[in-house]
Amino acid sequence: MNFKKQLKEGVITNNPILVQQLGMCATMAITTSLFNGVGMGLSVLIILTCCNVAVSAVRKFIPDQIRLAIFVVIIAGFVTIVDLLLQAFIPALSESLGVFIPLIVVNCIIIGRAEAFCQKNPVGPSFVDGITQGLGYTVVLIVMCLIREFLGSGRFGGGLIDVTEGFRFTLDGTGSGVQLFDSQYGASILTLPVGGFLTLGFIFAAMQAALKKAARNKAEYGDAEEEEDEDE
Amino acid sequence: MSVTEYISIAIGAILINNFIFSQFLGCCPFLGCSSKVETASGMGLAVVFVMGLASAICYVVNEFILVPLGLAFLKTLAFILVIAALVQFVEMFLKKAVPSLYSALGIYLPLITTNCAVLGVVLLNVQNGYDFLGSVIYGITGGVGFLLAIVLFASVRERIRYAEYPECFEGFPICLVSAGLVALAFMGFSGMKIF
Amino acid sequence: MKDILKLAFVLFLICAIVAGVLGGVDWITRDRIREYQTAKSNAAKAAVMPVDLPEGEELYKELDLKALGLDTSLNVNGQKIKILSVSEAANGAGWVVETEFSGAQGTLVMMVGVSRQLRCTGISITQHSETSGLGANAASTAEVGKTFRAQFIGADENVQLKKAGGTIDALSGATITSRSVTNATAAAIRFVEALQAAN
Repeated sequence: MNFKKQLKEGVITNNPILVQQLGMCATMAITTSLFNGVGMGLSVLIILTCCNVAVSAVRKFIPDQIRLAIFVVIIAGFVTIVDLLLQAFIPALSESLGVFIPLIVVNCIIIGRAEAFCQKNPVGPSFVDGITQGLGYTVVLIVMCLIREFLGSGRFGGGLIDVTEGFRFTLDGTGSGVQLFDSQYGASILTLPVGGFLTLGFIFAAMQAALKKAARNKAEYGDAEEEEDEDE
Repeated sequence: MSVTEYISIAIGAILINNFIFSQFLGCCPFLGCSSKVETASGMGLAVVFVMGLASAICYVVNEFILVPLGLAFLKTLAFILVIAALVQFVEMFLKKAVPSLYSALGIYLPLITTNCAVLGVVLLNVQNGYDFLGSVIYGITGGVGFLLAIVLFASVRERIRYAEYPECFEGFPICLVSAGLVALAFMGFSGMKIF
Repeated sequence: MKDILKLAFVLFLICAIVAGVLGGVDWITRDRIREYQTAKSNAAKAAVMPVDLPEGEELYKELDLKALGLDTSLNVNGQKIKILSVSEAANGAGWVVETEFSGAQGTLVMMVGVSRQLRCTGISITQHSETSGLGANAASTAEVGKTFRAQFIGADENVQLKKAGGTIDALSGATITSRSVTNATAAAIRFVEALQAAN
């Protein structure tokens, strides 16, 4: 079991969103505040890890013909559990993510990992795979949130960080976030659906550039930062 | 519900709250199957068909089985099974009964099970409290909105081939950026008032 | 045939296990979810019409809309406003009307407190999908949102934006949202007027 290698794969070289191109809907839809991004990322991480372990534990007993149906049932089970727990204990998150929590069922990452990894590997590596792939997903969501929130409304950490009465973390989604510049100067288009497509496109491009650069190991690729503002 | 409400559901689902451009449901097939107008329209039609049927069946399942038995918490599980079974059944039925339609839509059908627009529409039907007709209309028009979006986008994408862009945008990123621009055009509908 | 039976059995078994586990989780979470929902709706109502009664008493009594037999779909300045629910404050100060209407981006749900004298005692937006930084300010807890909403306290059924000759300052860059919020406030007051007339 090589945790480091799997971690590098999950977060960078085989990132579920940026390389495998899976699970894009939620990525673009909910990344409007850090609260949403972290919440969604962790929910997917937990569900993915549980499903990976469950699928890999029962992989020897599942008849091959109906394996997909069984995967879907297992995934739907875990998703509903997380959905109910969120409704009961972090209702603000459940309201803010809305229909995208139950929609994790059809998030291709989970069924994709079950099919590609867990049905061939024992419980241990599957567990690690769930965590690393989940982390890879969460990292991309957080980057998306940071960019969209900062450029869109000049804020950092909306919902998650509250600065009205000293710096503290909130779990009820009411945090004001740190206002870095006045929101009226932000490109509010980035907080709209359009911004989701654009931001993800630019992050994708940056990733491709970075991967290519790493592959060639040449320095001629210079600046691979996202510069959304240029686009508008 | 009145006729005007049905009309406003329909226009809302096709233009104002378009499934792809404003709700981000069904992005995977939207980006995956839109390289040619032909495949895009095939996929779109299959989605309209399945979304309409799934809305009708899931309404019945929810209203007459899950809610009376107090099993509303099972709805995600029940709906995804209904959709999977429905897709399978539609595929077998089309293969036998309407081979011409099957050859046009066949290969797209299995992909639809994991299309979040389909599961999304049935969950939204419950969330919005639509009645039977409202659910079916929302399902079909939501599918039409998907069809419109994917066909429009496929024609945009066919032109990307002749465009010049930085090398690192090759493939997926340029698609996302152009999808963003199409979404920008759809934003024009957002201030629209219906009745 | 035997194979199919076996497959069906395995699938059924897994479904049954999953359903059983979910039933357990539902049983644990159900009361909490319901408690939270009541608390949330009470908090939204308290924001527009505070009721001073000891803890544990029913603060708001929801009236049965169908039994009232009133028109729940109102038209104010050409905009359609739907009345979702109406509750009477237990201390008899007035009513809280829950309205639904379309804003600039999507549907808004708003609570409006209406006193016996047919004056607005406050508004609170509980659901919206308006543009962040523009229309979303109407619901924001920041100063700009509080100032905007405070303007409605004391408004009557003919409340209008300044642009239309009224008293309400629209949010900058969000005239559509401001206008629809104003219309919904007027609609709520008119609904209570009809409610009083019917009694």
